[in-house]
Amino acid sequence: MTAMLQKKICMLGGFSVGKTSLVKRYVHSVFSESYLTTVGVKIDKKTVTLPDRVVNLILWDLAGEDDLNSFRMTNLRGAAGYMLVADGTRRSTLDVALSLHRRVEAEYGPLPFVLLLNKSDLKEQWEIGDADVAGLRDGGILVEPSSALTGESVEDAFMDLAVRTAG
Amino acid sequence: MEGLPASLADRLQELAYNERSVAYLEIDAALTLIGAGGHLENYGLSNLRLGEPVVQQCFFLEGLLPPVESPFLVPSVELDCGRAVDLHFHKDCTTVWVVLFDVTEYRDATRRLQQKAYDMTLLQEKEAQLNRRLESVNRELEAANDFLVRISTKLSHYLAPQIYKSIFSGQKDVTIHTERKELTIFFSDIKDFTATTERLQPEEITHLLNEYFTEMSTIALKHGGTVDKFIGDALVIFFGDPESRGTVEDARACLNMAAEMQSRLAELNVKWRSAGTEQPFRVRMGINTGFCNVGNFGSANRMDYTAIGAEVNLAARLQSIAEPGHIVISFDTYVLVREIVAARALPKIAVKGISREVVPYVVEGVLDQAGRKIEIFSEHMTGLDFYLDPRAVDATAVDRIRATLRSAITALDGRDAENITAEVVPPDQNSCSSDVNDEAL
Repeated sequence: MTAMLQKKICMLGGFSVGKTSLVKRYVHSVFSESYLTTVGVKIDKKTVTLPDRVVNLILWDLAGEDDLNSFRMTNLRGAAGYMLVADGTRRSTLDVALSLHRRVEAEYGPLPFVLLLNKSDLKEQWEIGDADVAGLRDGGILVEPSSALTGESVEDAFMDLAVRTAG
Repeated sequence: MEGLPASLADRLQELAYNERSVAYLEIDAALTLIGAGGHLENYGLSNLRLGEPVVQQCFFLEGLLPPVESPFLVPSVELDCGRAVDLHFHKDCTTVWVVLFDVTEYRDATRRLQQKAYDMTLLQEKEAQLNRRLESVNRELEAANDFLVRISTKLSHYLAPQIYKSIFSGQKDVTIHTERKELTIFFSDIKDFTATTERLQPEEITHLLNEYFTEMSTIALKHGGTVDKFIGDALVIFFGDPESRGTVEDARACLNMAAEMQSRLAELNVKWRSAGTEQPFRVRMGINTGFCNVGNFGSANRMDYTAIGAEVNLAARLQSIAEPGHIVISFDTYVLVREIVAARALPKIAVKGISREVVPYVVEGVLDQAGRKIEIFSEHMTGLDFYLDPRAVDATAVDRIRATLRSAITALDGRDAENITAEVVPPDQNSCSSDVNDEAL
């Protein structure tokens, strides 16, 4: 049997920003309104066909960081890249995501990542403005508004990570 | 298990192995699966192929092999099968052991607690967010309110204060609606205004007129009159809507207002004359009482609050027949105010739209509360500046004034004796009197 190329990708962000929903949308094409918190880590696999190869993305959906659970940096071990997720309707989650990003980079060096500002379907409730997004992009961060409900940016963001980690 | 009684060691082994569904994977240095055992079926790992790469079969191990430290734990990992496991990595010589411990029950219990805590935190965040939004909406509302107050204050200058008050307090709807009411209507007009002001600059005329209207409106407001409109130099005021104190009181208030206006005008003429205005303002006034239609007239887009009807026209007509400086009232007004005025009937007149005979009355004086006629003497012309309000004069000055007036009469008599040809001035052109002071002089 030929060994298939596999890449570990971690989902990082504060609690209830939609990490699990994004993975569910991407892997199973479903969305559920009900919120079920993740304990520890949930591991899923998604096979992606790139122009020149097929790659398995091993998605580590990590519990959101909060007062109850301190983030286990060792969970990032062996990761090829990560998806930073913030909730556009809760400004504080952007700070959490950026703080996680800095800590991961300090520990593992620069890795490919995409910052998703999730819940774009609730745009009227957003606390993160266009100016914030422009500021992040000026800082060299790849930022996309996303929605696990509508599927906006989900496929593209994971595909982008697949290309950059398997390239 | 050394040091433990044999039966306890057996029990612990059973607890760990059976109740935590222990399974293991044995992996060589080339990351090939070389052995597996225990409760593999519990984790959906029944069909493992020995001798093949392990990460292709157990994708959850991707990135974790070989372990950089030993022992190493990845706690609470939910696998495809839905079970949650603790993954224990343990290395000896060239072999890596991965031990799987089922922690599904523990994970579920933790999840219930964590869920409650997160739901609570989310609710608190939501509350804080709503509060912030509420505060911002409140600020916007306050700003909008301030704006409306400023606008309405500006608008108020275009409306009679009573109308403004009744609209902004919600008493009156701003709709095309009129009602029949008994009003006392006042018309005034400055005699020969154009001729009087022809030598003045437009700015001076504006200033003069504004001062005149401001003074007159203040008096109207003081007596409870509704200033209907300014038409050129004419002024229309009515009593009885939107506020009324009853027909009699409304008519009396109107008469008192007219008398005070004439009195104030005499004072203003002294001031204007000393400021260089050669000709005094002499004002005709007409007052009538009768049923009119009062309310909003016009279109839905642009309306005027006013009064219309033949009785309004009659007030205008009475004004037109008044001598300058005089007040002419209709019989209908006279019967309401006869106790506070001295008045003389004039010849009957016919007015279009009024079938009854109209007898105008010229007001000869308004009586004060003690029933005395209020008299003010005022004359302004070339060679004369004269204003006398006997009630206002200081008691100690009365003798001096009397002496001055006698001397003045003597001087005039002397002038007649010398038979000097006087420059005759028509009596109704330059004299300005309030109430009945023409007669009194």
